Amino acid sequence: MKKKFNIPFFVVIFWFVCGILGLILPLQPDQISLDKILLGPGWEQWCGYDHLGRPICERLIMGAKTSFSVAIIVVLISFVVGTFFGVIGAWFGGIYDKFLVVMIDIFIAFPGILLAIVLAGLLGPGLTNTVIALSVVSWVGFSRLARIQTLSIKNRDHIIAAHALGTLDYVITYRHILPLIIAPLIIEATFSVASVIIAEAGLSFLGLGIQPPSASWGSMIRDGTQYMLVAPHMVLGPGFAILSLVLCVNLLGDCLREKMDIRGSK
Amino acid sequence: MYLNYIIKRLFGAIFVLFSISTIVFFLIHIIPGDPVEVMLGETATATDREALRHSLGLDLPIIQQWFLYLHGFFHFDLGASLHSKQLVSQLLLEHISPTLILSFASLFIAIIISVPLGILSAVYKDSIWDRLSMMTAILGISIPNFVMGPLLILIFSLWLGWFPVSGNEGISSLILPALTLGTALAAILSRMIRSSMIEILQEDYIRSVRARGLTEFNILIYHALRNALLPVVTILGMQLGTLLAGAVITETIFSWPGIGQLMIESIQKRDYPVVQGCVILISFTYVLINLVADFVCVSLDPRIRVD
Repeated sequence: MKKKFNIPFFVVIFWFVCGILGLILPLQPDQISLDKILLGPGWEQWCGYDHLGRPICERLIMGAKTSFSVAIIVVLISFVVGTFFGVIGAWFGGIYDKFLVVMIDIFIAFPGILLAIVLAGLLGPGLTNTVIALSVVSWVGFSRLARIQTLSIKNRDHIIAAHALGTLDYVITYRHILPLIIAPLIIEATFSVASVIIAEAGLSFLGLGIQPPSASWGSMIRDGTQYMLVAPHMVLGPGFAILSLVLCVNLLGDCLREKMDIRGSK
Repeated sequence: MYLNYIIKRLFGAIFVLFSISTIVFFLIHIIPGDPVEVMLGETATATDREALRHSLGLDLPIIQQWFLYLHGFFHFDLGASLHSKQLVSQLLLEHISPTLILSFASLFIAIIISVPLGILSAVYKDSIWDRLSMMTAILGISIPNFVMGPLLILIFSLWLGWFPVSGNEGISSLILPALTLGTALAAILSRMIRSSMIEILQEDYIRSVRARGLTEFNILIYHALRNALLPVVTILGMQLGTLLAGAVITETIFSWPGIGQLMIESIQKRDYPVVQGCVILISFTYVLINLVADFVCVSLDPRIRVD
């Protein structure tokens, strides 16, 4: 078990550090060198150059920055918003809960990525619009989970006692309910990071996500598909980057789930 | 009792469809972006724009537009494309069969990969085969179709030259897109089948059947798998919807002339009626599949029929 935990952890950390380096280092991912167009990987530049002679290695680092910033912002927004509505709905019940259930039903009746594609397409490309489109889609998972978890612990003795003592609703939900339901939500957040990274890259692949000059792994693959015969490294680099990151985030999520013993595995 | 359940679910589905079409309508009309500008270009005069806007009915108040849209919706009239002037229903009909073919082919691929893989890892639980196939499964879940697609094209079309790169020319051009879509589904299904099979294989009746001296194959296929597939059917229903959405990206990669490609093209051209039509069609199929999956489950296992 331990062995499985370490490698994914280091890979995720590696890409995260790359993302931070993308913020700090004075990289020139948009530097066009006309004499190096489509040049393959070599000693000087490990990942080769793209169709405009831009260094793929540096663009991968900037892509990591894009992926992580979108994933972290989107998951944070949907975590907070989704959990808030889920807990509120389950705690107050009645009309709030009915409304929440209807909203959840509608959003679940709709393949998430499809809604994100339509939203991003209509809003136009760009970082902010991508974040909006993906947040609209991913709050539902958190909301549903938070609601079910809250319902299952709502009638525990200590919560009934707190309620009987006249504790304020927000104190009960914040202090007594949230700590009990946070573990499954964190696991959901881990898997959500993986799916948001895929979704962002997917939108950028379709040309609906991050704008062309800034680098995104999805748009790098999109550019690469046109030069696959002469320069397969243009697809292989970002493809491997997405695959390794998403795979390792998913593996981490699996490990977390086993560690926190959510399904009561033996 | 059973009839009540069906009626309740049907009304739920209709309500969901109505809400989706309303949400999509308002989303499209509230979000900035003028189809008239896209059609005429930035150099068009103000009078030309007004005339076109009027002829398309875009100058009416939004509530009135919505009522017109609903009226058409209930008469199976989804409007006409702003660009080609073709009827949306006709466009959808033209593009639905490639998408259906692609979806069924990927479903087929997913099932022939996942059922043996799931059974194998459940029977030889914790063995090297189990580890290996579950590792493959999580790899399959983690590889997005826009990475898988180009990789398959690179290996099988460009390097080996076995299949065409894109297009829709018979079975050979179907294989790569179907593989791209099918592998992710196969990965999810094989994990499901594995955990479901492991649970079933511990049941008492399996021990009884084994005591009766049936062959291992007979036990696995006729006694265990049939019950193990029950939870899988529900998940399959939900996953088929994801499959349809995934088809949007896969169709773009392989230039497969289905609904997904139509939708992406229409989004880029801001062809509102066609986008609306595509979204409604896909969500309609999604809701329908989930409904059917529920009914199949209920008829397979009468214990589910509560409330």
